Amino acid sequence: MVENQRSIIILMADDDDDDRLMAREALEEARCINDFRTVTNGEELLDYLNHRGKFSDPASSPAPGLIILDLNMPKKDGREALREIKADPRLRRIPIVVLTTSKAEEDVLRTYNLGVNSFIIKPVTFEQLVETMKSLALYWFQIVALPENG
Amino acid sequence: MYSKLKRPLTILIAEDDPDDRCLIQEAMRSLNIFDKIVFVENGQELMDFLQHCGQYQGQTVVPDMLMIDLNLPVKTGFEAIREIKNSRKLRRIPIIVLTVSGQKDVINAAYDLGISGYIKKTTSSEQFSAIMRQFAKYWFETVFLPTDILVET
Repeated sequence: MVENQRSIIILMADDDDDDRLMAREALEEARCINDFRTVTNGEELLDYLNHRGKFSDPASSPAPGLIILDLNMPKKDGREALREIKADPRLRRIPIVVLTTSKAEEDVLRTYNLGVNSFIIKPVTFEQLVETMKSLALYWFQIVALPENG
Repeated sequence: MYSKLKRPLTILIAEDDPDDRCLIQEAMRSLNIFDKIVFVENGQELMDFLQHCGQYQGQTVVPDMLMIDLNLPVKTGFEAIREIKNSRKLRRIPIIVLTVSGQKDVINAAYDLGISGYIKKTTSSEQFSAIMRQFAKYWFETVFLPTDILVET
């Protein structure tokens, strides 16, 4: 059981404005009170995690407890970002859940081989997305113990 | 619309304590989703099963998920997880740690190796069953496993 769930930051990387908005609303509907932040591509994601570029002030980029990652993004896609994060000894322990429209079996295998912690296919309806977020939040914030960032 | 193809699921559990094995087996059975619930009792048996060698030569089952206690004799849970994540064939299998320790450095070290969840053991069978029901909902309804097959419905 997590006492201060709000303090665990969910960081979502997704290039689609609607998908980011829907995710935020689904989390709210799922009564998920976590601090929810977003970036729009893989490059921004790595900048956030490394406190670079527009995130050079660490106060603007507090370490996330969970990353939700879309695969298909411009500038740096989710696969490349995943590879970089899981190769970085400072960052690799952060649980990453891929949430993507890709149904390609190669993507599933490849991301698990790269160290993704879970792979979820984006549901079609908002109701289903709410159920997905409920299940995800219950698992990561109530069932399992999370690592702590250095 | 897409959904997962219904298929037999196997979970491989590495647990050396017989009482804990009992608790886990009961919880897993009552979920009614596993075709095979396989137990091994130490880290070496775990690796032998996965690599189809030693007493498990000829064994061909590839588990859909691994549940590993860190305190295993012969070869520790940490050592086994390290080997599994270094294996091209085995690294994709989601690993859940189910163990006594709740120490931060132990949890961090396990996630550093690439596990997909860390659950502290509980002595209450009701509590454990409740945890496993939610666990199963996440892994077998919400999540797509590397061994899952998607079908158009």
